[in-house]
Amino acid sequence: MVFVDSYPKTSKIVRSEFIVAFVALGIGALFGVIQALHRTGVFRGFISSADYYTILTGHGVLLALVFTTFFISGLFTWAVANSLERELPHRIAWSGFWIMLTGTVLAAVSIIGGLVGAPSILGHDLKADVLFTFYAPLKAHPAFYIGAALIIVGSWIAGLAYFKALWEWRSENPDERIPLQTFMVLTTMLMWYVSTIGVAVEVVAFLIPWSLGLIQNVDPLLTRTLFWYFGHPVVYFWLMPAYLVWYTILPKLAGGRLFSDPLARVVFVAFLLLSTPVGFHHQYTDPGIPSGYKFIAMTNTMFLLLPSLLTAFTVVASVEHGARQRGAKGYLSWLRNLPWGKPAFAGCMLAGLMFAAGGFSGMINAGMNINYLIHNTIWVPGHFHLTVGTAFALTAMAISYWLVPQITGKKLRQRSIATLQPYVWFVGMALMSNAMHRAGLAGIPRRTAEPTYDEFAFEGVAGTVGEMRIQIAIGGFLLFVGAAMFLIVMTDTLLARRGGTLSVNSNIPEPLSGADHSPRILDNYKLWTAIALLLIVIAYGPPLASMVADGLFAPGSPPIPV
Amino acid sequence: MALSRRQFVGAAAGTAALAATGTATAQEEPDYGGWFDDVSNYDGTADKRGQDTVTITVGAQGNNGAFAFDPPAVMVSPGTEVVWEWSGEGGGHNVVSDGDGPLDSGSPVSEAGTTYSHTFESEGMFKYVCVPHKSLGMKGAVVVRPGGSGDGGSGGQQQQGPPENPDYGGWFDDVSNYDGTTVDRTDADSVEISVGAQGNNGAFAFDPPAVRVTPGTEVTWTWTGEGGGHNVVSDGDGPLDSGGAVSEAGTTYSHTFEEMGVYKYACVPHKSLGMKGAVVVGGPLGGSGGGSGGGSEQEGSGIELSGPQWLLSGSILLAFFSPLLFAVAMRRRQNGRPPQTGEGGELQRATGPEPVEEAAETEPAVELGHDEYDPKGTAALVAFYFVLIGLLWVFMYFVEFLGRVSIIG
Repeated sequence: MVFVDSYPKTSKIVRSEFIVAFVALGIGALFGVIQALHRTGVFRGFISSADYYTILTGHGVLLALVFTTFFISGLFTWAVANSLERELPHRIAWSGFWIMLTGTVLAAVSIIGGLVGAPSILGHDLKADVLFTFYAPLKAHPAFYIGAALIIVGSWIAGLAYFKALWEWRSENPDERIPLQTFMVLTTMLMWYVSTIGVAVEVVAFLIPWSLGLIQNVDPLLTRTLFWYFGHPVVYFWLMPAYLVWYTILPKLAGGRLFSDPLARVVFVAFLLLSTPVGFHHQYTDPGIPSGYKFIAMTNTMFLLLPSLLTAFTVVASVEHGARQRGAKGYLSWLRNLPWGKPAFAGCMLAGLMFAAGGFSGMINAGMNINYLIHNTIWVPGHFHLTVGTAFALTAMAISYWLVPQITGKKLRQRSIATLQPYVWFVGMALMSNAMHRAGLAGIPRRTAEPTYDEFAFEGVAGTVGEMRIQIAIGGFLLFVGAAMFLIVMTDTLLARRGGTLSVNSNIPEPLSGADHSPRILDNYKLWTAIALLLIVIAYGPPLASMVADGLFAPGSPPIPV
Repeated sequence: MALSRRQFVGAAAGTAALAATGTATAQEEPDYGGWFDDVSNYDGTADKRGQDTVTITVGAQGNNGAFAFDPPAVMVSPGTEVVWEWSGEGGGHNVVSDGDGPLDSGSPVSEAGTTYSHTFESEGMFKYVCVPHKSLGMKGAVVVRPGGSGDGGSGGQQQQGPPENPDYGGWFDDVSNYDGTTVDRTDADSVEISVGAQGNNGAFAFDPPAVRVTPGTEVTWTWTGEGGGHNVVSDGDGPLDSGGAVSEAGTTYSHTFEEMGVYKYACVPHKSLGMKGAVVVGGPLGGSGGGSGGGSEQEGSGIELSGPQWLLSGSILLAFFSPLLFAVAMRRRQNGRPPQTGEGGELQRATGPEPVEEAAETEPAVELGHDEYDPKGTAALVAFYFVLIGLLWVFMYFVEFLGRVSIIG
């Protein structure tokens, strides 16, 4: 039976969450193409250079925070209901949704306020040109911070619904292993609870009172540190849902079965343990953090490569299994026996391929010494457009082609556009991201409306700066076209009549190596959460304590007289 | 309040000067259209009409460094030669007209003593900038206008005395114990300022930081002995200079101010911490209010909320704790409710919308079980990826050396 008929209430929640996510994707993509054309100097007629930063903030917040969080909530809601075979506690899920939506509207209105002349609301200018990394000293309207806090709080409540569903299921199935999809969702949510504490404290204890004028000063280092405490795990909050898709759905789309269920569990536990105590690798150039703690963050980050490499192996092996089941032979020729014409499969595979490149530039970012080569250059956006911008976003779009028919009961429309769309995105991102990486090596800064300076010319190591600009502009434009194609398909599908035979099948075959072969300790959430917290205390305890001891609201000590 | 003799004279002089120059200034001060808004050392237009040659310093103190023209705004007669002279501070500067204009000294240079000159023949306003430091506020203007007499304008302005709330041009932005008021001591013959008072996160303040006195007043700085070595030195050109930094308690330095004006000064070692002050000489008579009362209201760290702020912070707190409240509410509801049956769903479906079916499951051509499957293709790809990573690492390390001078060689 189709999901929408088996779990109609849960389907409605998933649909609502997806719709908000898609609207955010549309606005965010529009802001993205404006930026790409503006900063490359191809067309600067949309906005003034001063408004560039407002657009940049909107792009970051709407895509990296709103699109991701809503889509992930929807995907997780589906995954838990699907694998536990029950409706989710819908009142909790709906309250989570409405709180997140309220937060989104508040944040979006304050960002857009900056584009319409920043009217004064409640005694403060309604604007939020604070970029996605909203720490001090940049200050936004209080409504922006309140909105951001509500999005986080709403996601906490949405997460509660998953846990409640598990507890209900557990009381009926006391001895069974937690189904893999639910296991992945809950591990991700535990990681999310642990890591969002940082940004919640930053926003509620410091930024909101500061923006309201209740306190005069905040410690920029402390708020940055609290933000990055959250700022790196949030990357895994984006990636782990993509991994969930790659592990549990992609093998089936390839015609095969998951290679190993226990390996998937190990990978997710490793992410729970290691995602958070790594944030200092975003702060290598920050003074006031001892190098030793930066080094700890670096080694933890390098350890984090392990689960991603395990994933690369397991997912590719599962896809290869699909190709072999389709009758493929040989070392590499099996790649031809895969359903490249199916958008859900092609999108996930291309996303994974791009993520391999993103993993490479991520290693550069994480290396303490070579980080200085690319710190705050456009290399960094080049990197995360491969991770969140492709590994997550393209996977989300691709799996929507498979999932949306199931949660609506409507056939996928505009199939030819859908088939082409992942390739358009892939080509656009390949152009834009590789040019951004090379431009970063040439020292071109990120977050700059007009990265040109009198009496100074950037020199590209490979290729010229002009060629990189054109590639970024063309790539950005193709990405916008790709997002528009996706939204056309989705709008047409959502507005269509339900009924008939869908083009997709929801059955997910058993893994080759099932959970029965894995140790039960893998499902012990209490143990893993405790170890994760311990690692955080080791990595963050002493530096945070010294920052707090330095004065919470009036930081800094006077120089010692010589 | 009885006026002392000297105070009366000062006030009379101020008023007279105001009367004499006020109209003239209003008439002659050109409208720069916001050009000088971000120029810290702009303090009116210097009237140099009647002189054959006028000199402007390039790289004078101002705009948080040596990023200013001095004087930034100058009025000259037609036919005057204006000479820009480089101070050698603040890096490379140039003099270039804003928009279309006659001035262009070429590329920025930093050598002290460099000069650039231009003779202004026609009337008008000529705005110019230092291109590299324009955004810092390194801007100037030359106004060419006939008339005027030698030193008239600027001298008159000096005697008028600073207004009731002098514009310190951001001087006190980072001074923690300056609360926006200039302490009025126009009733005293001698005024004392303590050096090393509490403030700026330590004993790094002058107290009071800003004080107004009448011309002829002797101001004495007294060291408290706290906060290490301090001194009192004028910002830019100015009369104050107590010499090297001293830390002994009880040290004093004094200066008698004769001319009206705003005298900014700082403790050189602790200037960046905000140890700065100003003496305002002349201007409006007492009773400007600030003085003693100002300190208490803004220094305190007490939190005061307006109505909407209460509403906002209340709702934030509520939102923050809402998960907890929610969990409690859910638990309470659950305790007193029988488990739901599936009947509602069944009924709905019977009369519900059109039926939907999934596509049929595609059967594999070959069924490969756990033991028959050997992922050799994956192993090949993984090996390829590691080789690629290795090559890219090599590339990354040598990017720094390609076509450049290496650190070693």
